[in-house]
Amino acid sequence: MLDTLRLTNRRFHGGIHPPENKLQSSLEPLRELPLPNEVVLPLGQHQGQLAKPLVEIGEKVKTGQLLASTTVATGACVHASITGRITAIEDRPLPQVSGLSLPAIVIQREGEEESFTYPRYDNWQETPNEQLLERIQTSGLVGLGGAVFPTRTKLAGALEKGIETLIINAAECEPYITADDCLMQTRPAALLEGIGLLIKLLQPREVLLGIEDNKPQALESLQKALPGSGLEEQLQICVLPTLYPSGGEKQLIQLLTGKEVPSGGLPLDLGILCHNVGTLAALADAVIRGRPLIERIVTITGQAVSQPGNYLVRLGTAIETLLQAAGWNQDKHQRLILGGPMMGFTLPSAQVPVTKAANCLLLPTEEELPLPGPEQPCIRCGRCEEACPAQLLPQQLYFYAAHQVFDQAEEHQLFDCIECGACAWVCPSEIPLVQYYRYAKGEVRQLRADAEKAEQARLRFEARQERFEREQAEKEAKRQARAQAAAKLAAAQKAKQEAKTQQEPQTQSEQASSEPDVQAALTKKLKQLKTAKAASSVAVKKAEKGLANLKAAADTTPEQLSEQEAKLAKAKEQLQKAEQQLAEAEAGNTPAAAQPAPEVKPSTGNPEDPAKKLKQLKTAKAATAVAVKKAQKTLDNLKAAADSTPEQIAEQEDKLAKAQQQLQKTEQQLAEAEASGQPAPTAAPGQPTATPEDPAKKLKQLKTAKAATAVAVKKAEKALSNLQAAKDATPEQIAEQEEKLAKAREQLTRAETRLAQAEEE
Amino acid sequence: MSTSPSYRQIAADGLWSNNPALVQLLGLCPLLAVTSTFVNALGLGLATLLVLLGSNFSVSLIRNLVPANVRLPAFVMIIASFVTCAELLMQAFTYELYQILGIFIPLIVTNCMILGRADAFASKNKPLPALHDALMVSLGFTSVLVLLGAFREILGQGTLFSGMELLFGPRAADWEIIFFTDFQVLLMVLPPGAFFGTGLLIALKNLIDAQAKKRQKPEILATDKTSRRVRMTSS
Amino acid sequence: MAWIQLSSPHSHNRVTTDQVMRQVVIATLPGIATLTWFFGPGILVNLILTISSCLLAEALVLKLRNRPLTVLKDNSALVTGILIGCCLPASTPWWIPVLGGSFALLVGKQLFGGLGQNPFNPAMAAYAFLLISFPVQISIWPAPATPLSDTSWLNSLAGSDALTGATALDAWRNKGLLMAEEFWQADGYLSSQMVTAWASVASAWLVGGLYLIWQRIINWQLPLTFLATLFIAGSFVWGFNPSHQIPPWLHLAASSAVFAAFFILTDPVSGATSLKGKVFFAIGCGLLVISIRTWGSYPDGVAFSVLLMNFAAPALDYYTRPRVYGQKQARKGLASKEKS
Repeated sequence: MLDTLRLTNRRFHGGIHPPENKLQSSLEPLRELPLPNEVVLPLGQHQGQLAKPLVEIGEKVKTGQLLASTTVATGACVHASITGRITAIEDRPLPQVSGLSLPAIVIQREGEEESFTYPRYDNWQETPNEQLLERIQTSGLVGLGGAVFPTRTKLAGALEKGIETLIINAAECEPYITADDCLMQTRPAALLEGIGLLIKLLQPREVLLGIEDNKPQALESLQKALPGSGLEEQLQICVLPTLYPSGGEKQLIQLLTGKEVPSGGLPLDLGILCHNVGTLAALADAVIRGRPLIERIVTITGQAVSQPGNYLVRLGTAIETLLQAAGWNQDKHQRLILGGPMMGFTLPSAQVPVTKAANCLLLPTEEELPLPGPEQPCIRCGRCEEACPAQLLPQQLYFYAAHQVFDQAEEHQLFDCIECGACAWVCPSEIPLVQYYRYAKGEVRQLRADAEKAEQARLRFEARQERFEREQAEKEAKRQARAQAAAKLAAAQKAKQEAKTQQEPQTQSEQASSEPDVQAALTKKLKQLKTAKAASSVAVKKAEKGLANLKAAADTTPEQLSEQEAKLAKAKEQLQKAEQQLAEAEAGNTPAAAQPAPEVKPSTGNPEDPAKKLKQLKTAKAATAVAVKKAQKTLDNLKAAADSTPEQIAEQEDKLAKAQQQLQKTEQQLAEAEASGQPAPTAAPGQPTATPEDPAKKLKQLKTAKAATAVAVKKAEKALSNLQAAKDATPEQIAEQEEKLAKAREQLTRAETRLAQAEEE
Repeated sequence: MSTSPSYRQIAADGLWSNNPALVQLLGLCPLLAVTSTFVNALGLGLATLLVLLGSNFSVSLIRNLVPANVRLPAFVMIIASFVTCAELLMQAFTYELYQILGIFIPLIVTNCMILGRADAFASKNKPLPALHDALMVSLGFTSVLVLLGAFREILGQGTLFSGMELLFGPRAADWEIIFFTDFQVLLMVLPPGAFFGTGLLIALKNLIDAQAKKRQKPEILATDKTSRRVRMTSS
Repeated sequence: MAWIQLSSPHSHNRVTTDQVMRQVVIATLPGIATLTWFFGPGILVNLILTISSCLLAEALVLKLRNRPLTVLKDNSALVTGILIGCCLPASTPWWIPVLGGSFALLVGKQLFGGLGQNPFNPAMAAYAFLLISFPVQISIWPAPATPLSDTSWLNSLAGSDALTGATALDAWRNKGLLMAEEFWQADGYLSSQMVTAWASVASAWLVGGLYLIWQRIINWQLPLTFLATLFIAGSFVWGFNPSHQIPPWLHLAASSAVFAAFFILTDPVSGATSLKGKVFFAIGCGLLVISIRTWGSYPDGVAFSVLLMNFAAPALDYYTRPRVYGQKQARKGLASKEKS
């Protein structure tokens, strides 16, 4: 039963009646364009990610062969549209307003056409849905109404949600375009097969086909093809009054079902799915005839072409080829529009390929579509509001977009605008409204992206701050714990001291009270002297370097040389003096601090001294070791250098010997301190108030000490091996190094025994 | 305390560049309400002049004695006293004008211009400069008042100097000049006319200022053609 | 060869502002003709004066703002001039139309920024200015005298010395304690000629307004709502005191209401934006007109009520946003400052 109903009770708001101009192209028969010599197939002819090429340059491909595929949900495949050889896979300009370039596969035609046919699903009625979807995916099907959304994704989503109403969009409301009209007249059977396929897939409750009443021949051909297709019971053909934009998805849904797609939502939310007739015919081809999407019908129209009409074009054909086949009159033409006059965009050049989205090429002359006049101020007439199919307030959107008040524009539902152009068509002041909205939408998207980036940066910053605080807190906790332990130790020792020296409270207390001050003063003085010594040693180094430079330079006079040497001598004198003072101070200091330690009398002096002194000595030893190394290095450099005098070398060897002496001295001191200092903590059991932390702390200390000595051993071994490997090492050096190594090993074993002892405890 | 501005500067500010009615837009209530005729405007202007002179001088005399946090109430008290004096004087010597001006004489107390000068100038400067400033500011205000009054009277009533005997005695009755008898724009003596008139006066002053500036600098500062964008910051 | 790059849409319905204004001018022709027929060629003189002063004022401001004088081609100054000219009595002195035209353009339109920026209807602003400034000259109309009647038709050209009369509403306002029935009988106050004249003028405006609706220049909801409000509210008020209140038909027959309904209220620039807003605008105007005519001190309050509703138009826009496709309810007002 055929049910053709005319909808008189449902309307959408607004709408306009632009002159249709469809007869230019719809009266012509469908022409097939001869195969082009070269096709450029962009990898991104669809919404979503680019497809990934599976072929390489130089490969020979057949028509329909899979060239690029995609594994993500939002992607579609690309197939070869002619037989030939792949000459390039590179960036080529897309048919875009901006002339954007994207990767594309370029095929040069070679030889006879060979088709690569996929297996046909003749009994698709019984084929499982997954297989059908798979075929749809591998056939590169996308929405051919202009949105080029991957069909498989759309259908998979629809299957998940469940569809009640299937709507087929045969409205083609835009003026000039007759591609769908032509398809319905030439291949209605394919269209009906596609509908049947979708019905099988989705099992909708009702199937509606919306067609405008300006296509009587198409309607007739559909009605003729319907009996015998098996769809008589299900398909309802609804004739719509010609009104732009009834073919817009939202408006078509409102016309056919009376429902409104919620703002920000999809028709799927209402259980409705819309498909273009071109997509359905291609669907039938893909599944039933095994032909992937390699060609489409393109309307070429406008008065600047002498043979307008519909052309069956292989994808990837250059638009220029197409235009020339249609009789392009370059003198009369002023702009090339891809799409219709209401929503199409101008192309900057014709050297771009036909893609899956190209449904019409419009070449108007100046008289046919005159250029707009200058933009006048808005007189707030309200015609735009009357015409808007989305029931917006275009006037307010224009004011907000023009004055860049984007938050108000968003509030006035800027993103519900479908950019149909009805408002700009009626505007008496010829304001390019759609351009303003596009601009505003772009700005808002940019602002949103910036806000998101800022948000992420803020989160990262906060996490970083948190981490810092945490680390600080941990350090603080450690420090406090250490201070607490030391304080407890001090308290314990103090208690012991007080207990022991009850007889002489006065002198002891005096001493005890003056000790800290004196100690503090002494340490300060010590520090000053150390700084002085460091400064003078730096001065000496500078003088030495200056001298070396002068000697190296060609044009120095003997006076300069002697001057520099005098400077050097003075600096060395100062250094010696500073070292002397420091040594005195240290010697003066250390007895006061070292007295309790060697005598193992915790009664006088602070118990901290041993540990502190130990640390001091360790640092001293380290410093001297560094000095030795430096001296060694300079010596090597001098020996390696060509122009060093024997005096210099002797001088340096002298320095080295001195440094090594110092190193030995400090090592000795350290060893003594360690040997003597060790009993102090280990005498802790003798003290009545031995804190339980001590063993653990001691253990840790010993472990660290062992580790340090192990490292020292390693270093010594390495140095030895270096020396042995080096060509110019003297036997004395090697022996020296071996001695050092032995000493280090000795220390290591000592530390290990101590550790073992402590662990036993 | 920093040196007070020169007498010439005070005069220029009070009369033109910082004119209370056209630049600072203070005291607009009496300006718009009583300037329907020339004599009304002149009367109020003179009253304001007296008050301002007295208050500026007094405030300047006591400026170092008043603590900062009570200075405004103190100044208002001084101003109110002088206004009362002015009112009593007007009641005694120009009774009809006093009746015509009505409540706008006591409202001189609230004239922001007077308190403004007291706080901005008199409390920070010596008495003589303060007196000079008071004279100049009130002359500036009065000149605007009388200009507006004249404008409104000519257009609204077709006369000028009508009713001058209210201020200057019976001899002034024949000072009246009649311009039109049948062309009287009633709007001008109503409040909208006051706003229009004030707006036109402000526009005129701005125009004169702009012309003066143009005459001073005949050559427009040429844009620096050699400046280049050295650093482009990307978004 | 570089091709032109433009944004869509590439097609336009070729109806531009100056065409819209031209249609409005055409629609005023019946009214102007009827006025001239009944009140003499003074009307035409007034129109010439107002139109020329409007155009001159606009040209002056364009010159001061360094804009091209081709802006005058959009006919908006012409329309403003015609609208003021039709409001003024036929026998006013020459400087009244000149003042009115200049005020309308200078203060009513250009001071606010030019076409599309004025919040007040310029013609009504000028009329209010003239009414308050020269109440006598604006209210005195010559006695209606068609070329067919005996009295000289050219009286209006002679100025205010000629035989003068009041408008219907004016006469009604000044009738004092006379009862309604007596008022209509007494010929001194209001002659039947007067009523015929004014009713004919009202019909002429109606014809012009219907032409505009037919040409889809204005929408029909606005005038209909206004006239209906006048009639209903007028009947309501008249019902309380039929002998002293203005009868409802007189509200409509006094031609200012019909004129305002089709030509003044429908001014797009100063009215509300959405259709709902426009309807509320009309209702508000109607109620205000009735209030002023009944209790106000002026006999006719159309100008003031239009100006008052112009004040309220932004608030109307705030509350009467249309419901967008896909939304359940219309949103009110503007975006709030807090982020959602």
